[in-house]
Amino acid sequence: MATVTRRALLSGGAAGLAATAATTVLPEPAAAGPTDDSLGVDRIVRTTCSPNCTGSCGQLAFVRNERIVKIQQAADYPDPSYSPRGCMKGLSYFQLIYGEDRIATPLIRTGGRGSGEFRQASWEEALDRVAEGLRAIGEQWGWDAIHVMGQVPGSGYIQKGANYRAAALLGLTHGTSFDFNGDLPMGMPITFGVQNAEHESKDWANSRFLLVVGANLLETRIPDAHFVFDAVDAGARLVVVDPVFSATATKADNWLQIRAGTDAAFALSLASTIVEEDLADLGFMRAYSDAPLLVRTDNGKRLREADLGVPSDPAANRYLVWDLAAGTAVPVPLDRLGVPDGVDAALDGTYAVTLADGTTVEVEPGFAPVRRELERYTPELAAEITGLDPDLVRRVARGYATTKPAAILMGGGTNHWYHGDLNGRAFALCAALTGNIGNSGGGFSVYVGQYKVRVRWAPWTSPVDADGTEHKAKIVPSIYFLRGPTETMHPDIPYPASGYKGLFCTFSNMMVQSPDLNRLYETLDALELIVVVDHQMTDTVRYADVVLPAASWYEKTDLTATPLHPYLQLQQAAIEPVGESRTELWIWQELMRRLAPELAQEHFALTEDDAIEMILAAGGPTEGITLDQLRAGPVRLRVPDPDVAFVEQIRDLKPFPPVSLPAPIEKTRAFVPTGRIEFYKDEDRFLELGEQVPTYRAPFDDTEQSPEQFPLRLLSPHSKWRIHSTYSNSPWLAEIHGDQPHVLLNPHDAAERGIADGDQIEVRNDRGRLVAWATVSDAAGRGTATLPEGWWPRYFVEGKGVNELTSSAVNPIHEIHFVANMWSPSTGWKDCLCEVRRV
Amino acid sequence: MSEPSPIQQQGSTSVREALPPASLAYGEMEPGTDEPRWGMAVDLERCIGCWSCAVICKSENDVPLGMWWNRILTAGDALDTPEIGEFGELSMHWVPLACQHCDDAPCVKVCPTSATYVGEGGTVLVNQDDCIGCRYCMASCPYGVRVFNWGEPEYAPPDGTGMVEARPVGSVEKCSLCVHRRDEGLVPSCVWSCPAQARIFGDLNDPDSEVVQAIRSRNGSRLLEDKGTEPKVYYLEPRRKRPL
Repeated sequence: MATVTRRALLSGGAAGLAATAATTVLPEPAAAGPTDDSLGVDRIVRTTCSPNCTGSCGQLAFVRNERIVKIQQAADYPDPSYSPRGCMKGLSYFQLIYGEDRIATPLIRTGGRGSGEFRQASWEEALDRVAEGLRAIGEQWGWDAIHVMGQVPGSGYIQKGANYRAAALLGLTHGTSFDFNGDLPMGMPITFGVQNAEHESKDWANSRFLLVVGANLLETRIPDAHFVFDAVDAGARLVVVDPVFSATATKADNWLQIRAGTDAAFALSLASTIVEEDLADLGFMRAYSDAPLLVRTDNGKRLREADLGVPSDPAANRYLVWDLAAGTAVPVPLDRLGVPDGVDAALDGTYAVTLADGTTVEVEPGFAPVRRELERYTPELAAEITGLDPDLVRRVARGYATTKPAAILMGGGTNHWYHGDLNGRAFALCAALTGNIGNSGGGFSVYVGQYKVRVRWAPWTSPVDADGTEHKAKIVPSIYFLRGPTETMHPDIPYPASGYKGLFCTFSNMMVQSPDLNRLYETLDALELIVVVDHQMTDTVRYADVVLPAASWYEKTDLTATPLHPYLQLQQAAIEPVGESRTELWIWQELMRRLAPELAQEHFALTEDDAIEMILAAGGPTEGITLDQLRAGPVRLRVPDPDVAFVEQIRDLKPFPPVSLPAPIEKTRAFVPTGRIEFYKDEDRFLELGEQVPTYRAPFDDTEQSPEQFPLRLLSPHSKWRIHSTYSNSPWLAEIHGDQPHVLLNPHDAAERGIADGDQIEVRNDRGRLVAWATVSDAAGRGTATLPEGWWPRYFVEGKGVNELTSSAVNPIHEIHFVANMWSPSTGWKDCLCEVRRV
Repeated sequence: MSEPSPIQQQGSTSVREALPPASLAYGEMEPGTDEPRWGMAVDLERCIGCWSCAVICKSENDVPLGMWWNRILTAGDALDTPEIGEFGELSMHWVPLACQHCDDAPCVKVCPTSATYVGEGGTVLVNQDDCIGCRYCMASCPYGVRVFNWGEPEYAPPDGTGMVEARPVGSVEKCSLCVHRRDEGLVPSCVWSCPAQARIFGDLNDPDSEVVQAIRSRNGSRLLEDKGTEPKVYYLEPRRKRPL
């Protein structure tokens, strides 16, 4: 007897496949089940998921009766290898849109700060209150005493850009995020002069050797993880370096269980092996890096033409190499990489040159001190630090150096250290030594945050008056808002003269997600006004004086992009804002109208679409892209395919750095004055701290706290169940992971402390404490305690979460230059000691 | 049952009609033969244990809180926790598990009311209106993939989700391979939504289909083959590692 579905009967088989018969001896049911019929939709809206995970995943919102009833990946990328993008978190997001923690009206605090006691208010009252508060601070202390907190712009250039635009017009201070998040990989500006330079994720598939360090791609880059398997299918080796047996480590050919915080020593041992075993591409080093540039051994500074008194062009003041053929120092051009034809540039040895004043000094190529440093980090010597088997490290070094192309994929686990810059510089050295820069399938990519300004957004963030006056927001790194200025803070940073008196916080659960939380709360207690814009009742919202309900990203228009793929995409509103929630642009329009009506009229009387058009019209990466194209789906930015960093430098010998938007090139060019990949730094502070060349430094917290008292390294990686603190309160995800923060401990460490799996434990250091639950597993490295970040405080037994313990220390190397989010203090979340005990 | 929630009214158009063209092109399917046998291969090398397939299943099928038609087992110790081998080596992978759509399904045999039946393409389906809640099928299923709707279901969001009507209290439910989507010529939602591209869906009767090719080239295996249930879900084993 043939069975057919009810739909096939009704439709006469119009769907084609449904009318086909299958044979079975079972009786036909009287009626088909309810699941046979789809309820259908009223419309499907294409938009982009935007929680700052770097996914930037195209999603479809299925709308019925003006409610989102399902979210599913759009899977519409012109390059099909990118489809589908989107993970379980994004698919569940409408649980937050309609969840118990959704804020539907403005709120005004009635109890003490943090009490969570509020009364509902009208928008009129709330906006008046905020405007009065801002004006009171502005008139008494200066408008710059108000800190505007936003988050990384890639997840929404328009609404986040509205913050900058308003700050620019009112003279407020705008904070930073990429550095504050610890994601700014300071090794990149130091070495390459750029903010960052990652390859688009599909290029992983072109690699034949993937060296993954401190990155858990399978959990934190879920939409891109399959490119790792694509590479492996094509024959690539996968080596994963992580103190914890991560999801990514489960798939590795080799997992190197490194001692936490010793990544630079490991990288140097790779580089040491590559040099020692003659596997280095010295031609590459000579042509593209500062390896041949001469350094004076008397003062550690590079030799310049002016030293010799012969500047052919005073403005140029070129650098010199030692020409072995001619036996003399010769200048190299500044406008072109490589070494002039016929010059045999030395990479080692010492030479004597006579300066303009007649004195003779000794010089050596910049590569010489690099090589000397590497001799201190052979795999055998480094094993003392890293705990890694030297033979295995040598095999990895040989595999990495002899398999082309080979990529290093680095993540927050390696970057989030006080000396994260040194970690990055050491891995960059490995990439350069093997010529894996500027090549598809190679590269040194650090994947951290959706920070990237991939469009020319200045027309939106920095409005220009009719008379040509440009308004630019004053930008102060958020770390100084948290802890006050340091003695070494860069003089260009416009820290407010009166200090901070107010906070306007958007897109951020900063009172959970900032480092050194107890110190932050001291700062907050001194503020006259805290305004928080959010759509969820976070602990940050609970601390606000006035709460303004925000529209979620399914309720507003925005423009997004990510470093992980080069598609520009829109957020398009699928539903009206829930309750009385409103967009950030609307909120600023209303506040501007109250605070500066003329400026509001001139610069804020526009829509999101107007703002997008302004950005698109600025051209460059968006040349030729129209709003209509974006409405239909993702549009590839005008970048090479595959989008690989430094192609022009390597192929065309164009000096470093390429531009890092939105900074003017003059600013970032100062990071690498030689115009080359710099492994030797001669700014005074590098010399003072002995960090001229890539080296290893023990974790900084060992000097801040007592390692005897707090012997465990507290690691707070990103969780696959959350994007930072977003999705902490997702009901479906809670059903899966159990809704309790667990601290992962090694069985030996647990046994020494009498801790069993599932016990409640206290995690403590000098900065703070919390109580959570223990998971005891061999997945944990000895001496580590791992508590993924992002849990809301309410899920802990006690404490505000892992960031009570983390550090806000500022590395003075990060203060040598200042370009916001590019050369700026980067937070070392994982540089944190603790002790645990059963409670 | 209580009144249907406002979102459980019929929408004004079908999903197929409403899908943007590029998305439709991604998820369209059609049988490779006149008599298709719908099945799936799950690549355990590619599975990253993210539960996207399980979450979209919950959403698509309006599965109440506390119930899962599709789960991800950890082949290891506990959720996302590895096991330790004889020589101290750690290992872990994930096994997504839902109805195996057996060709010789025990649940179909034991159902006293024929509420569980074999639908088009060999898919095992449940007619909840005919289900009397005896749960013989749950006892007979060696895979433990059926769930029972014990009480008034709770949803988050409270009005429910997805593309199908709520099912009556006191009935057994499980994966239908998204029969309501296949009727519109769309792949099941777990297949559409796997970001790791670990699920291959197709017509097992078509030797040229991608799913059959994958099963053959990777020597796909089925769960509890010895039970003789002849599942239509195949698993492709994790690859052998090549340590340096």
